[in-house]
Amino acid sequence: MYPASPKLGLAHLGASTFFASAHPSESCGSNGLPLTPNSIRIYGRARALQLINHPHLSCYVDIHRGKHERIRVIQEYYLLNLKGACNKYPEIRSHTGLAQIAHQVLQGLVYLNTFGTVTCNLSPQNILLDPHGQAKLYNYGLYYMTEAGSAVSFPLGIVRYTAPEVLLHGASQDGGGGSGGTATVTGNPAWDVWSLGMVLAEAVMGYQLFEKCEEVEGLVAEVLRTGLAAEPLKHLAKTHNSTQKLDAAPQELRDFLCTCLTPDPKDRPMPRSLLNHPLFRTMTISAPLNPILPHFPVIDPSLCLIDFAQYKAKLSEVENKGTVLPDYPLIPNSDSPLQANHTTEVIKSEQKDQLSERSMREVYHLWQLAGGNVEQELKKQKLIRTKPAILTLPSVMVVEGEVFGGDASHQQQLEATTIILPLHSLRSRLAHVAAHKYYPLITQRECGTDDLETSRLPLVIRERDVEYQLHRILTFQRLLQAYPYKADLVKSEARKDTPPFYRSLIWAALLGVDGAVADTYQQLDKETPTLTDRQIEVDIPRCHQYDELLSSPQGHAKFTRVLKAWVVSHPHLVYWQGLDSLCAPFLYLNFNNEALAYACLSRFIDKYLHKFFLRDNSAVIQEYLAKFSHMIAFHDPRLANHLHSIGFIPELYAIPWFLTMYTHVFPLQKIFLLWDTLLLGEASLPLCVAVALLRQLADRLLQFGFNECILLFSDMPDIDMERVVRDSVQVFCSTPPSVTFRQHQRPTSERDNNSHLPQSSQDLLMTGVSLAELKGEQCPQVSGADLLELSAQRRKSRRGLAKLLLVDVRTSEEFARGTLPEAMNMPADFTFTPEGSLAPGPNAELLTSYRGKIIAVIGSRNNWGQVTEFAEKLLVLEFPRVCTLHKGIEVFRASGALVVPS
Amino acid sequence: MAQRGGAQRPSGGGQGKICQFKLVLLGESAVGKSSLVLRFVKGQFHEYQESTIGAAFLTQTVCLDDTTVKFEIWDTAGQERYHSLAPMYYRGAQAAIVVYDITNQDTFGRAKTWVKELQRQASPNIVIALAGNKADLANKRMVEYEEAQTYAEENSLLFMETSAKTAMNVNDIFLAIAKKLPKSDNNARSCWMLQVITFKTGETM
Ligand SMILES: Nc1nc2c(ncn2[C@@H]2O[C@H](COP(=O)(O)OP(=O)(O)O)[C@@H](O)[C@H]2O)c(=O)[nH]1
Ligand SMILES: [Mg+2]
Repeated sequence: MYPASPKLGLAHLGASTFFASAHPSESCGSNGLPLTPNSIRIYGRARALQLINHPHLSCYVDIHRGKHERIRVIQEYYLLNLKGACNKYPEIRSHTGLAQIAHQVLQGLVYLNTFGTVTCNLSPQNILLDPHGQAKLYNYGLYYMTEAGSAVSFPLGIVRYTAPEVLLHGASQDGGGGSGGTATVTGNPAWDVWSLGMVLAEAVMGYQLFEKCEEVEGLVAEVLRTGLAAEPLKHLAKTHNSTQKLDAAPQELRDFLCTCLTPDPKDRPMPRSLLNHPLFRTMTISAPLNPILPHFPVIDPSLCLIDFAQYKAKLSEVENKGTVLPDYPLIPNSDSPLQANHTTEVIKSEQKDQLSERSMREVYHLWQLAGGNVEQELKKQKLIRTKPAILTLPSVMVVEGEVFGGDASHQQQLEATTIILPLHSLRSRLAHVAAHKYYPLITQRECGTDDLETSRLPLVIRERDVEYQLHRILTFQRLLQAYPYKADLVKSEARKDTPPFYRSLIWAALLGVDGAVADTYQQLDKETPTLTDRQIEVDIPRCHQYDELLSSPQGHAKFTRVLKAWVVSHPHLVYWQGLDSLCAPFLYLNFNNEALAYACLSRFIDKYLHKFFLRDNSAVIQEYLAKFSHMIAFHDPRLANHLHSIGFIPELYAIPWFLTMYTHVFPLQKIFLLWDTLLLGEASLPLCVAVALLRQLADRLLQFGFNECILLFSDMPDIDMERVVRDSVQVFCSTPPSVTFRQHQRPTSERDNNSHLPQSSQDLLMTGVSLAELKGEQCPQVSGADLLELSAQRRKSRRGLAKLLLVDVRTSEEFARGTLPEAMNMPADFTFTPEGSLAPGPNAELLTSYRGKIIAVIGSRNNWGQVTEFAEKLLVLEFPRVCTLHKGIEVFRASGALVVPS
Repeated sequence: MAQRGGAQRPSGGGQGKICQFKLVLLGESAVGKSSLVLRFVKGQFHEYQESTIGAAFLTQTVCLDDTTVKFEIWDTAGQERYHSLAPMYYRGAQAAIVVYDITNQDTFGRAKTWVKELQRQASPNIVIALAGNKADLANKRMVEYEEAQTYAEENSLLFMETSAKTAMNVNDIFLAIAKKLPKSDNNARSCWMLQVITFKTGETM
């Protein structure tokens, strides 16, 4: 679905591989730092090819980067190319057949041109024919991903089909201008027109062009000679003894070929204008020629119901895709009989092959989960040959580090072979999944996983279980298509877990992204220089650069745009170092949709980091850190006391945690795990995460002095993130909401509109506490409303399980005049011994028996020091969950909750 | 709050004393502060050194004749916005390295401001060193050696051009600081950090 990739249908997943050219070792850029490896440049650019979705362009399913600058490409693939198909099927090599192919290839080219590139390697091998006889360009992204071939050391195209001007000047010059191999290379669409002419001429004449030339030099000469001829087509026919064959072709076809083979690229027409050639008068366009950018909320633009007629037409077109060509080779000869049987069965049987209904990217994802590994597959099928290391050693190495000799030959050529990824083991893994499971009824809350054993296993296992993930993908696909209407269901499903395949969209849904995402982003000024630019520019090359995507030049450019867009669109906020880290997970997940990355970032900051990016954020951060200290005291008094005694204050270590929501402290994979849950929670969840983090390291922290503690966090130790997540949820659930109240948090509609409440209820709510007061206290304050709520829960629970002990610390006289029901009186002056321990007595015993429960210290607002002092004494005695009643017992007066103790 | 440790603990054995000193690194972001510390402490250089948020803390011990000097190093964030945090780190520090990037004139200007601020606000006997980093990029030099040296002399700063990448002068600058630091026993270490901390921009402490 996103970025949309076509259904598998009868396609194979083909894998091919090549090498990026390696930089001489030790070579540095002008900043003295190593150059970005070419394979990373390629990898970053190739991502965009996944956006291409057109019936005459093979889908780019995935791209990997391997060792030694190796690139592996997984693409939609078929066993017949134009050459094979012409040999096999008369209807394809017929003049009408070829005209049809020409039309389809042109459509693919036009689409690519609007996308912003050219193929530069059009050849009969790179035009595949699918079983329905439809042409699909293959490997067309090479020019784009290698930046006009500048990132590889082999030529892109096959000489005999390459346009003469490309052979003369190289392909890195720009369309007309010649701006010379920069990142914005688009190439000249007319190059491909020449190649198309050559490919078709060859097919019409029925001969391989320049067959007798064996040397590259000879071939180049032949092509150039053809380009110099007054009439290249005639020249070709003559030199190949095919004048008769050519004359037999219809006038329109000959004219088309002539036009394509216009020697001067300036006079040669572009693919788009060629679509109007009389040759194609009776033919219709197969699909829109403009790339459609990804949408969120996900709307399949082809389902636009305003034009229902068009939709119906499309449906019928899908249904009548036509019959399969007779005897089409659907499976490779070399295939194991097992797979052969299976595939033929699938095709013969009436029953639909469910896998072929899934998108290619999804199938590939599942294939990997089922144990598929492209590198191993390439090795098995001999496309990667492992050589003994001794054979690859260089023969000379100069002092500067550059090496010569050894086996560098692999880099100088493009391996044209494609291998097919065998899907049979995936098919058999999923064979027992009933067909109807592929279409879960989301309105019935069907999710397909409830009856699976796996759903009760740990997350790491669920994430790697192919069947489980299939069901998760199926469910979320439907839910996301129904977003925002089904936003609630997305949330409740995400509580189970987040399938990595749809993480980007699920996050967007959880953040409530909606509206004109793409338009909003498009209208923002991401170019004009601003004062923040230098800071952004120096931060990006330091941000999650272990990741191949984020360290690629494309990654840097996207980073810059998204950050600049955020800065210009939030004039009241500013760029603080750390915003870059915060942006990283969104950019990584939405690499092909900057607009969505931007929208998610904005929503995220608004919810979790409200006001953190103010120019003066000191009050906001100070409050946050003070709350964090309170939370440590509330949940782990022993640790709190220790950290307090060594002066290890959150100011010194926790700012990057909160300001970047942990993105500056953990690698991306850990962040994903953490944020999957963080995004489901309240804005206070991050505080609970911090508590969980400290507690996981508590053993060490408790033994450490100041220096060791701070060293521990300067270089974050390995953390069991799954446990942190679990613990933080538990911390959250055991914290009364008012404890994490912050006056700088984002106002939520209910919480902030208290003005309509009567005074008596307003008293019971939490209000802002001054920073000085917050920092002066060690235990958190809790609201009257929370205390009433907790007491009510106690009464409701049948076993009378008390979660809460109310300790009224006023004098017994004050206590007798009115207190909360169930409160216990422990006058501050008599409770503790001079050494600070509890003075023995029945109440002290009761208090001790409540260790571990919430202990609310209640007193008068007019004697507040007494209250905090009492609470802190309990803290010293390592009582957990001690809190003080916000604004004193007086808050209950108006509501009449106070009673005279019996 | 409790004070941590005394200034100098006489070591148990007979081989001289152990001194602990706090050292803070200041300077515009991306001039190479974290890289210098990493080189000094771990002998490494990371091309993609992560940016510093708030501050980072590291320690390293060097031996000087019969004295063992332990540096407690605070590496600060460079962005101007984080300026308000800096006093928390330089207050009570006995030494500071102010870093600039020799390929960027602005960072030298920024370094001068830091020096001024330290002279006004930090403890009076603080030892300040000026480091012109990225000396390996001499062909992109924008700040002349002589210019920086003159400035350093006028302000009685230690001065060296360094390169975290090649390790040039990195240990040397720390050693030079160690030599200059007073190692007398009555030089009590101040409790420098755990006082009121404020983030207010521009507020002086
Ligand atoms: N060529 C060169 N680059 C350096 C040197 N020191 C640091 N860098 C690079 O400059 C960038 C910023 O360094 P960093 O230590 O993060 O700077 P900080 O913000 O001052 O801590 C990083 O990419 C470093 O790799 C150096 O001596 N020479
Ligand atoms: Mg740094």
